[in-house]
Amino acid sequence: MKKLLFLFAFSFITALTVGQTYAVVKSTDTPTPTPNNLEQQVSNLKDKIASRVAQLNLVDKRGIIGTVTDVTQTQITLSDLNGNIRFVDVDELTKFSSPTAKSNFGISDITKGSQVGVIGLYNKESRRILARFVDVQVNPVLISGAISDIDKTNYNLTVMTPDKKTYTISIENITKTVSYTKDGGVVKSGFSKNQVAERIVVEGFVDIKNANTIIASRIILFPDLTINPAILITKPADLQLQGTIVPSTGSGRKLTPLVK
Amino acid sequence: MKTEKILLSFVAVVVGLIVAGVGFYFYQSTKVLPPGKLASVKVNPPTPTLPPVYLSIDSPQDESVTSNKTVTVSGKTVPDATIVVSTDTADQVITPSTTGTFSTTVTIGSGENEIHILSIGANGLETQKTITVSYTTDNF
Repeated sequence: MKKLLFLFAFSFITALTVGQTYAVVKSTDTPTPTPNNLEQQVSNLKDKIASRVAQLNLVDKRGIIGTVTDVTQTQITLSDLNGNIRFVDVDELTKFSSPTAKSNFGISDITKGSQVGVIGLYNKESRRILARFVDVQVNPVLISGAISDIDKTNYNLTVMTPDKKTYTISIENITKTVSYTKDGGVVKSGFSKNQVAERIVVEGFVDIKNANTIIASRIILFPDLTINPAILITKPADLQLQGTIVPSTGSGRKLTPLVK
Repeated sequence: MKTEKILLSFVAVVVGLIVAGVGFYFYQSTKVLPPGKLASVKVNPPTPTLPPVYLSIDSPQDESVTSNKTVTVSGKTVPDATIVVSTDTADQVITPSTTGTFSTTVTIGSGENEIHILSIGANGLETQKTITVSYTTDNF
């Protein structure tokens, strides 16, 4: 029995030693181009392509408009049209422009509060834009509401919006006014055609001196459309109608308005 | 003998609980409260709210960059709406189809452009959306 065990142990140890020696000899062979090596190269290439595709999928071209809230030498922080904070990175390839620009307009000329448009590469992971173009611009605003007052002397309209804001609309020589009805479509109109409690859409630029004044570029009047229920303006015709009603005392005697 | 006592006490407790429960039920069902003790709950009728004007924009995608100066603006709103599509240079007034879908083309300028889409419902309510579309032919 002892002999048998010894024989078994000996053959096991011998087999292990031979196997290890063979493995060492095999690993010290000089590398020669084999099919396995080629497969490795193809695999590496595939990895590189996949990495590049992933990188391309991670970024896409985007353009945003916003108001500058902070600016450094390498980054612009914007509040976009939806009020979200956006981070814009700039590098040596970023081009800057402004309508009133000097020839060497750059990031140092961009100030807080100015409105800029940015076109660049948006990284979906970091949610940052690497800017390629940064343009300082002044964009028009669109105001929808109802006419609450007409100043025929100064050619101004007062427009109330559903959020209870009141704007003074300055009518200029360049202001184009049209009127829209479902039957007649868009027809040319003018300042004299404006009526209180009429629905109006104004596109124009905010006056630098007064944020509540809009210098109108284009006006569309909608005589057919109902004004927003949130805007409480009484039509002049209704006011005249109210004035003719003689109030009753309830006792049968009618009160008549005093006439001076 | 001891087991019988435990069993009997258990049965007695159960019967007692049932009798007490039935008695409490009858007491509650026959109880009459004087009108002064009754609490009055005043339910205010809900104030009628007008349905908001639905507006969704299918194209162009917000913040998209294009190399075409002509852009198709399409989307969906309420069928009885009047839609104003406004760019920096021009306005268009359109009406949607009976299903509420609408589509029109606008011309945009170089760089970043704002397209304002305003939908005014027949009830006077309105919804406005602004889309940023940028035009460039530069490769970057």
